[in-house]
Order: sequence, then structure tokens, then C-alpha cells
Amino acid sequence: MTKQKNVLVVEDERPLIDAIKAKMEKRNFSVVSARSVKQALMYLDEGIKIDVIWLDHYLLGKEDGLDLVAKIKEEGSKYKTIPVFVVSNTATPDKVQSYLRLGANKYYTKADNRLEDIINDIDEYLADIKE
Amino acid sequence: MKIRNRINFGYLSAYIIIMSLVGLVIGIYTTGLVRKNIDAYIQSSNHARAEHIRTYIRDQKITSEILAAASVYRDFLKTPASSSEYAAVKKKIDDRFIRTRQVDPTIDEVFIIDRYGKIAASSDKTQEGLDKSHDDYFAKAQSSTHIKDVYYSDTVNKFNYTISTPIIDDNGMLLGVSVMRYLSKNFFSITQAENRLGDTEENFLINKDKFFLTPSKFFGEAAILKEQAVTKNADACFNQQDIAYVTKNGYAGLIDDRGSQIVEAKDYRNVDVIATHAYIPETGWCLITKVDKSDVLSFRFWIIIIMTSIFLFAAALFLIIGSYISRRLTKPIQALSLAAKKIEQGDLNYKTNITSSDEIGSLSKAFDKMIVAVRESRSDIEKKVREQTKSLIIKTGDLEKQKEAMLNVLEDVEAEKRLSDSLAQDLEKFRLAVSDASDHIIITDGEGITLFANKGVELITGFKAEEVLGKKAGAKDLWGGLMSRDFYEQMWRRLKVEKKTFSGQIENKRKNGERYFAQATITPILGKDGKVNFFVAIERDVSKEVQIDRAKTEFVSLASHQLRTPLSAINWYSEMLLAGDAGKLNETQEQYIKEVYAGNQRMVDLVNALLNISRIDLGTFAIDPEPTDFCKLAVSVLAEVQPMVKAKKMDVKNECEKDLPLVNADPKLVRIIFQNLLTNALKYTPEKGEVAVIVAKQGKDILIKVTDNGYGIPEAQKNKIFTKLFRADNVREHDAEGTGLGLYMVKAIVEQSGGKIWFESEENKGTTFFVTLPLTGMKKKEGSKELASIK
Repeated sequence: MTKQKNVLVVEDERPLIDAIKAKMEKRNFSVVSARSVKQALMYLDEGIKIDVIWLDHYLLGKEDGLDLVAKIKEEGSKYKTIPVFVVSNTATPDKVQSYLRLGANKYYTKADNRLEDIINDIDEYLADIKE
Repeated sequence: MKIRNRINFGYLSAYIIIMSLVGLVIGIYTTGLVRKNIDAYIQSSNHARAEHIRTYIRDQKITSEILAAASVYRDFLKTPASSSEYAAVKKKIDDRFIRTRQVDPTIDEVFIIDRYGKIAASSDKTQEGLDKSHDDYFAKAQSSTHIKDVYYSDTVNKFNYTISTPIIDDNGMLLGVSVMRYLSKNFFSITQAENRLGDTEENFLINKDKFFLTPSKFFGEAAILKEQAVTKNADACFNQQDIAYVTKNGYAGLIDDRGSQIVEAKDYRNVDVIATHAYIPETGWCLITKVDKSDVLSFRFWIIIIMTSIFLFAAALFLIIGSYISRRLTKPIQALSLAAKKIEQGDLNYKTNITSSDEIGSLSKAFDKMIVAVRESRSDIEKKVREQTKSLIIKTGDLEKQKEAMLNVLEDVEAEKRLSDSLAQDLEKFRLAVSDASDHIIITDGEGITLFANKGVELITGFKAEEVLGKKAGAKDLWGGLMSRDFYEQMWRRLKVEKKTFSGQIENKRKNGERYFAQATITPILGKDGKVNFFVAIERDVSKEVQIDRAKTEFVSLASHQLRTPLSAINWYSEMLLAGDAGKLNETQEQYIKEVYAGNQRMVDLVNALLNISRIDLGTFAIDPEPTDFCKLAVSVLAEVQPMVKAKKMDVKNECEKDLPLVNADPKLVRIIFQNLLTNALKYTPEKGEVAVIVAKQGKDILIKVTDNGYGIPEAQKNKIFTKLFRADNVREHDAEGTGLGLYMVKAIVEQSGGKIWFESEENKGTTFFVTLPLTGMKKKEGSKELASIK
């Protein structure tokens, strides 16, 4: 059996967290969810090995998804190598550019994409890294 | 001042100074000297006379004592009058009297007083027998010689003094008194002044009561025993200590012991005198010697007169000598100056003729030489001048011609000037307008160095005009430096290389550090040679607008997020249900969920469309033109819609003109245009219909044509086709989907891009939509959003 992968889902909407969690678990992911940047960093610092991050833009608290990516991807961060998939509903191109520039791997608009497809992409990506 | 006068003046000044000093010194010295002499003379004169008087009186005293000791005197007094020898003795006495008086004629009377005070015998027979016992010359001469002070005798009507000596026998018994009477007149000669010092010099004797004993020079004999000399000098004479000294030692050493005896005070006439005195101890008298101060010092006046005369005389002498010397000196100088004047007047043959061997002589020799040289050079010059004049005449002719030409030019210049004056006036108006404008306006030279900055610059950037002039506009130390290097490089390339206007939004910083957004338009001004001479930059502070823009953007972003979030939830849960993640569904369940999902998709599309519309309305969508291949786009969009094409079994044709040029357009927007028209054509045409897409060049535009043979647009609703949310009735029947926003959006995009859109349609026959866009392309438009693609 392939090892279970850990995903950190950073999303503020409860119903969406549940949906994502349900689908991801079906796909053999262990899900840790956080609703704010602070919470997310806390989980990371606790030492849980995260294989991928599912990140929304608007979150609880003052900081948003961009802040988290900036923190994770900064020089010397031990989380630098964790792939980040941004799944958000905001469609501003400059936000997309910012995320990609900061080091996010891909950007999805929630409403335009099926859960299934997004998770497929993540799976593929992780499989590629393994090789 | 002329030299001569200067010399004279110099001499005179020196002389006056020297003589004044000399005069002063002499005056002081002589006065002192003379005074000393006067004092010495008075003193010695006085003492000498006093000694004389003392000697005189002492002699008289001795005479009296000798006489008193004469045996004949004793015999006489011993012999009584009744005795027979009396007559003989008396005769001897009388003879003795006569002899005595012969020997010393100054004796006025000599007599003997017996011990009872009666005059026993006298040279003056009339006095014999008189009782003189009360008289001092008897009473006081009982034991020793007595000198009676001067008195006036009524009997003889003269001033006398007496010297009386007691006649004592061998036993010491008083027999009588011998008296000799002298006239005080005898002193008069001694006291007579010699007037060595002056007419006011006088000597006189005073007794202890200060009465005159000898005549006063001024009051005469009338002063004797009548007038007193109550003076400081007289007081000084009767000073006890002085008297004591003189009585003991005489006058010698008196001055050394007791000090100067000279007294300067007022005399008995109340006149200032220089006086001295000598005490006569024998008689208790004082000898006064005095002279009027003014008398002795009157010489001073004479000295001044004499000296002044000498002074003036010498001055005159000096002047004459000085005059002579200076004249001698200045004569040659005058000759020289005369020569210079002659030469000035033009007489170059003049010679100075000064032959002295001094400096002036050598100067004049040099002068003569110089004149000769001048004369020679003059003649040279005259020659040259003549030659020059000839050539000048020729040149003047040329000059005349040139002058004419110049005058013509000047006329043109005048005209130009008038023109430039009116231009200047206009310029002034413009300058005022520009100066006060609230937009930031800067004019720089071809290198960007600021030549002019208006008030707006300070208003917006905070930098004053003087801080900006001479510096590179928008430099890092001014308001620039915030944009990326690429940005500035692009800007300069456009301005300097392409020499075109740059227009864009720039983020700048004010002097206080505050950042702001500016809408900048910079235009290069080219000279006739095509080189950039100036740049004109106008910037407007659009911070507020940008701020509003950002707010709008953020709002739309947030709105889209808020709207889409529940839709996403529905989407995903439906998706999971359909995928069987919650368990296998039965057919009905699946059908229902599919409906939910489909309905939700519509919502998503609607929300996307609405967001696009909002961006179009707010003007926040961006146009990013780049060279776009319209054919390629068309092909790509067609590929996208293949599923629908296949599903409806449509016949789709694509015609693209060959060698279509690339158009500067935003591909995303063009894609939206294609997408919309194509999906409309496909949607609103029944199955197995025909759709054609044609892209071609038409004049200055590129043309897109989308034709279908579908339902067409009802005539009544043609005018509403481009309105928001409008869907024509006929298609609503056939197709539930469609937002009614597509054409509104396409029209907005096309028109914002400078193009045109229209259609031709007939109900149930078909529709053709036409879009033209200029070949020059879309203008770049800054915007915060891109329009979302619509499925």
C-alpha cells in the first residue's frame, strides 16, 4: 500500500473544508486543516510532515494566503520544498501572478474546477517528485 | 602748493617752533637768575648797612664809656661847686667838651649829670642846671651804658638819641652820668638807598614800636616817629629767636641757621615788595631794606619786547634766505614745466637749456632727448598716416556698400523682432497658465535636465522649483526611483530612441517620502534636425483614482469570492455525490443531482459574467495589446467548442485570409469575442446547422464575421440585442442557458478597443455578426482586472 500522504488544507469555509477533506481522504490523503496562517504555521512547526499544501487566499485573521506562501518559501525556511496548490475564488490576475512568483505551484479557481481534477493534478505532481 | 612756497613754509614752521622753545627756556632761566641776584643783593646790602650801623653805635658807645672814665670827669664831679678848684676843673671839662665835639662833629651835645640828676656841665650852656633826673638817659644809665631810643626834643627841636654812661669812682660809687646826644639824622646817610635795584629801593630804621627812625622814601622825614611800618617784614625782624641769634652771633650764619630772611609781602604802603631786615641788638632797632616787586621784575617786560623783536627780525631774515634758496631750486623746475607746455602746444623744437649739474640738470637733458625722439617719431607717424589714408579711402568705398547691405538686414531684423514680441506675449500667457496649473509640468533639455518646473511640481512632489532646476527630472533623489529598472529603461527608450510620447502610470515619492501614483505624459520636442531638444512632462496625481480603483478592485475580488464560495461548495458536493463518494445513487437521485449541478454551473457562469460586466462598467479591465494572430485564435476557440459542435453535429467552416498581419491586440479579449460569437452561433442554430467564421482584412481594419443559419433575431428585439441580460424570446424557448450578458460584453470590448460591431439577421434564416478592429490595434489600457473567460 502506498504510503499515506499528508496534506495541509488551509481554508476558512467550514463546508468547503469538509468537502475537500472527504474527497482527499478517499484518495488516500491524511488531512490536516487550518483556517488561518497562524494555525497553519503552528501545525507545521509541530513537526507534522506535510507533503502538500492546499491553500485558499482569503483566510481567517489578518494574514492571507500570500503571506503564508511568502513565509513558507522564504530563504532558509524548512518548509520551502513543500508544494503549494492555491485553490481560491478570487480571479485577479495579479494575485495569480503573485502566488506563482512567490513559489506556488499552481492556481485554481474553485468555481471553475472539479475537486476530482485538482486532486488528480496533485497526485500526479507528487508522483513526479517521487521519481 | 608750489614748491617754493612749500620750502618757505617749511623753513618758517621749523623756525617758529625752535624759537618758541628757545624763548621759553631763556625766559624761565633769566627770571630765576635775576631773582636770585636781587635777593642776594638786598640781603647783603641790608646786612652790610646793619653792620655799619652797629659799628657806628658801638663806636659811639665806646666813646661814651671812655669819656665817662675820664679822670677829669671824676675830678669834676668830686669837686663841689663851692670849691675854689671848681672853676678850673669846670674849665677843663668845657675844654674837654669842645675837644670832644671837634673830634666828632656828630655829637650834638655832650653833658654831665651829677648824681642828683642835675646837669652839672654841658656843651650847651643853656642846659646847665636843668633837672633831668626823670629822664631815661639819667635814670637808666645808673649802672651801665644806656642808649636812649630816638626821640624828638622840644628844647632843640630835633630828633635825637643819647648814649649815657655812668661815671663811677674807684669805690664803685656813682658820681654821675656822662651823656652824649647825637642827632638821629646821622643815620640818614647810612640808610640812603643806592637805587641799584630800582627807584623804589629803600632802607630805613624802625624802633621796637615800629616807628620810623629815618625818613621813608615815600613819606619823607614826616614819617619819623609818626608813621609805623607794621609789616610782615618788621614782624619777622622782631622774631624772638632771630633776635636771640643775632644778639649772640651777629649776622653771620643767620641765614644758614635761621633760613632765608627775604620776605615777599606788602609794605607799609600796601605795595608788594621784596624786603629783608636786620636787628640791631645794641639799640633794639630794625633796619629794613626793601624794593618794590614790580620795580625789579619790570625787566621781564623788557626781555619780552627785546626777544620778540629779535624773533621777528630773525624770521624776516629766514624768510628772505629761504625765499632765495627756494627760488633757485624751483627756477629750473619751472623751466621744465614751461618746456612741457610748449611741447604740448606743438613746438617740438624747443630746448630747455638747463645746464645745472644736479638732478634737475640731468632730468632736463633727458627731457631734451625725449623731445627729439618724439619729433622723429612724429614725422614717421605722419608718413604712415598719409599712406594709411590712401588705403582708407579705398576701404571706405567698400564700407559704404556693406553699410547698405546691413541696413537691409536690420529691416528684416526689425520685422522679426515685432513678430517675436507678439510671440513673447502669447508665450507669457501660456507661461502664466502653465505656471499656476495644479498638474505637475516640467520642461527639460534633451538630456532630461530640468529647465522649468511649475507650481504644480511643488504641490504634488513637495520639491520646490529651485530644488528641481538643473537636476535630472524624476531622479532618485527627487520623486523617482520607485519603479523597476525595466520600466525606466522602456520609458527612456520610447522617449529618446523612438522619440515618441510616453504615457503611463508611475509610482513616485514625494519629498516627505509619501508614495503616490501619477499619470504621466512625457513628450519629446524635436528640433529641425530631428534631435530631441526638450522634453515636456505633465503628471497628474492620480493617487486618489488609483486608491478608488484599488478599492473597487478589492471589492470586486471580495464580491467574486463571496459569490463563488457557496457555488463551489455546491459544485463539489454535487460532484462527490455524482461520483458515488457518498454511496451509489439511484437513477432519480443521479438525475436530480445532475440538475442541481447544472443549475449551479449556470450560476457560476452568471457570476463570472456579472463580474466581467462590473469590470467593464467600472472601467477596471485591462487591455494588454501584443502582436496577435487572429487566425490562430480563431482556430483555438473553435477547438474549444468542438464538444458542442460534435454534440449538435454542426458544420463549421473557418476562413482566414492569407498573410493577415499581426494586430496589436489583447489576445484574451479577442478570444472572448470569438468565444462569444461562436457559442452564440452554435447555441442559437438547430442541430446539423452551418456556422462560418471568417477573418479578413477590410481597408484599415481587420474584419471578423460569424455567420449562422439559425433562429435569427426577431425584428422587434434587434435594438435590444446588445443590452445587459437580454435574451430574445425565440431563443429562450429553445435554450434555457445563456446569461444575456455576452453580447453586451463583446460590444463593450470592441468599442473600447476602437472597433465596431453590428449584425444582420432574419428570423429563422440566420444571423451574421460583424466585428471590425483597427489594424493599428488596441490601445494599451491600464486596468486592474482582466475579464474572466466565459465558458
